[in-house]
Amino acid sequence: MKMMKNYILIALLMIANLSWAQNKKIWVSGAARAVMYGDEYNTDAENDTTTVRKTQGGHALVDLGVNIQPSKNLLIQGMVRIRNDYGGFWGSGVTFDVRQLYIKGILGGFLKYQLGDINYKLTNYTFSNNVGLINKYDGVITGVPLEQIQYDLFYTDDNTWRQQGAAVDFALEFDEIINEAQFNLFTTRVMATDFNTQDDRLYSGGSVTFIQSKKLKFGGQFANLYDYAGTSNSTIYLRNPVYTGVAEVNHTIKNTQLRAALETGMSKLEWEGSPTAPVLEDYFYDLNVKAIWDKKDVSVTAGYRNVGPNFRSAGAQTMQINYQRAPAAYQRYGNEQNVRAISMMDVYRDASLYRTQITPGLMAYDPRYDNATPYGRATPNRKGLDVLIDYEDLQKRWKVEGDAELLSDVIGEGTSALKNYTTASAMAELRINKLMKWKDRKFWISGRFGMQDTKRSGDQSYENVDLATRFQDFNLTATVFGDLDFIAQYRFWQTKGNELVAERNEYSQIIDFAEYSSDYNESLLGAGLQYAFSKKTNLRFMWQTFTWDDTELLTQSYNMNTWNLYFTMKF
Amino acid sequence: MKKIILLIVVSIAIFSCKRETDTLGPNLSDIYGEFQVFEAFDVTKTNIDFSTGEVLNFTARFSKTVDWEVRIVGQKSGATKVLTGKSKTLDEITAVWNGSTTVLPMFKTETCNAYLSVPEEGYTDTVKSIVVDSTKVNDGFVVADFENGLNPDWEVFKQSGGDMSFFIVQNDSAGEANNYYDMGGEVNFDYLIGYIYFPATAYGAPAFPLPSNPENVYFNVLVYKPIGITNEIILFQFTEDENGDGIFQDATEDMYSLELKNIETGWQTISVKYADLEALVNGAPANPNGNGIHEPEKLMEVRTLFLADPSTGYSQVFMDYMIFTEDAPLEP
Repeated sequence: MKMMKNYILIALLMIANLSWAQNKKIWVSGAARAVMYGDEYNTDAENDTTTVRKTQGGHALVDLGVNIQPSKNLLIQGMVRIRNDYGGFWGSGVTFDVRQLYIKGILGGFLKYQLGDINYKLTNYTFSNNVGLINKYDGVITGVPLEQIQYDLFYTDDNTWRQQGAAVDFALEFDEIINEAQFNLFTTRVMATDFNTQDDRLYSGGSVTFIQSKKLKFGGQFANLYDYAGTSNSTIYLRNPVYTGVAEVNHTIKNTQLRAALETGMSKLEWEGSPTAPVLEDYFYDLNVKAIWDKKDVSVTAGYRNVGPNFRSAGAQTMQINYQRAPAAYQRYGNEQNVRAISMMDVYRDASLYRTQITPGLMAYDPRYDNATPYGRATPNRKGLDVLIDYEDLQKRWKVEGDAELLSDVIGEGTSALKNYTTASAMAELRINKLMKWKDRKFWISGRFGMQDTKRSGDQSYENVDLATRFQDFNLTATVFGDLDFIAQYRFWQTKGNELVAERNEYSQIIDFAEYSSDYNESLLGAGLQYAFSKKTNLRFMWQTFTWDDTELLTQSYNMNTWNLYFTMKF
Repeated sequence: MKKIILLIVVSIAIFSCKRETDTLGPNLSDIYGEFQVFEAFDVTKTNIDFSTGEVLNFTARFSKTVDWEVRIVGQKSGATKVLTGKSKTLDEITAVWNGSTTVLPMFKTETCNAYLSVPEEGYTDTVKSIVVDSTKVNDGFVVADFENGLNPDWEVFKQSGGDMSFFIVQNDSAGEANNYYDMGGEVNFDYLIGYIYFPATAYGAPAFPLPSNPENVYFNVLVYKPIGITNEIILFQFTEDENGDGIFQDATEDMYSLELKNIETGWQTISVKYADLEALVNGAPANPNGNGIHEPEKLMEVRTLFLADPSTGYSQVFMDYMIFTEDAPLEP
């Protein structure tokens, strides 16, 4: 096996050499990184003689992608990952995996296709990889390991999900009525059959967009998660089709660009062949208007949405984080060896907590990290307003931003009284180097305050719900000299109050309510140095101290001091 | 601008869509409201004949959903059946007793008391006594219940040790009905204390009348360990006559085994799917000597061997109601 790995490596290097000889028709791209870290656990809990105080580890890896372009309309990429965990030697601890493989090209001069690994998305209600509130806002320290998780799991900035299958795109142009019609189709497999009780589970869909003019476009999306009958002995088949229509109107009045967009649609979730399973059907609509004043670099977006309680869209409602998992580091701690709850420190650095595939139904969520919209914009049983304001100085010296969502239940959970969800945050960023007109130095500071409240008042005291989350985030980036920057971050998260969290059955229907109570906070203070060899190559050394403080003593409070060394490179 | 107005008109049309307005999930008043008993605990009959398939329904109705428990206790046997649920009502769906037992021994023809409790509300109630006129009949092939003495075609052997029992005992505490088989003794020169073999020929056939699919056949037996016994080893062996010659050839035919050690004290039900039985050599899994296919329709003998480490002294267990069932394990 070791010999085989060597042969593959040699073959890759030979192919890389060929790239120069063959006028770049074959070339190598990819990424590399080396990570080292150390954790130091501390607690004030008496008599914790069981939990190990220090751990350390790390790895080095390289992703080697061989790009082959036999003709100008065809590209093949195969990427392998070679990873060596810290301490591995002469092949011990080395893993060798195929990271991605795809073929893409253009057929007949108009039909774009891709086979194998594809990144895909449609809209927020059909197919989108939504980022949860806990990961929504960047941090200069927390963002470093999180960026590696996102890279490893193929989470992209444009919210695509990595799938394996096929996709085709093409467009037709017209002389009258509409200018262009764009068509996108895909089909992927999200779960393989076990040849017994689970069929192959496929996810297919597409979109059509008619562009009437620069001012108007409209179209539709379709996405369906379904079991491919006959690929196992199962007689029950999951079906989750979602149909939506979209329309977007753009209009300019003097210096103001106006854009109004509407998406509306319906979903159905059923288990065909099951005499006991329900059929869940519902609809949603989402209307928003955006105004941009170019001369001031101000934009305001306001919207209203209503998502029905039985709206189910696997591609849009799958959460990135699997809150039913336990963190990999210090999974059990304390003398009782209790499972350690997921903390924001784990969310930023533990890839094992994340999903790589879409999942039907509604997953369990953690009210601390988003109780209002755990399933993103497509969270069912929500209606209300949202506003987003961006204002940036034309000389880029400062920027302010505010967002708010005022939502409520569409239908009460266990009572006719509705919960109200208020989420808001305000951010200010000051680029001192621009203010001071320092050309070759960075000096940015930013701060964000955020909150999320869930409240319900009813005739009976047991109907009352009051859960409050507060978060703060401060970042600093300052050039020491040359390409060496000092970075620092402080992040604080607090949740206090009570909630009745819906417990759902296998069909995602509410069957009970769990009493949830919390009075805790967690904070992370970190600082480090980063050196940019180039735009794509960085070396970072960071130290951070993380504190978990549970006032209700439901979990053991602790502190974790961590140092990290990250070398990252893309080529 | 006209297009924006059109978009708003379309939106308003969509906004007017209606959906059901029932609350989602269970009503909170059913979970957290004040507890009241709207209908007291009751039972549909006071005399019951389980042998004809009759069932007993308990009823009650509360103001809210609660975790409740109905405990039925046999006055003579001490057998206990526990029904539990989480609901606002006890009815023919949620609180039905078919004569089965949760805590052995099995119920006898006896008078029983039934108690309802709602622990979270500190509420208890009882009904007047229930008389079991006839006990539940279990579908399956009964190998031995020891109610009619020892079958002369069974083969019994016991070592010449001390305090040897290996006999049938009549007692109300029997796992099923009134009799059980007592295996006990102290043998300081061999692991084997004794055995009792049940050949199919004792029932008038060369093989037990079992279906051929081992996934559908369950071997069940009630065993009892007295307090203080820690060294018991019960070994059940299942010999298959693969070539149909009426003789088990140890070297060329399959014998599957089930070994029990360190069982709990008191009566308990042992149920094993025939397909899950393994060939054992000195207690360790091994390859069977025959075709390696579980063939319950060729089972020619069930052997029960009682063993103990000779250095550990006296050992004892009771055995009762050995039965093969189809499709599901025994519900005693």
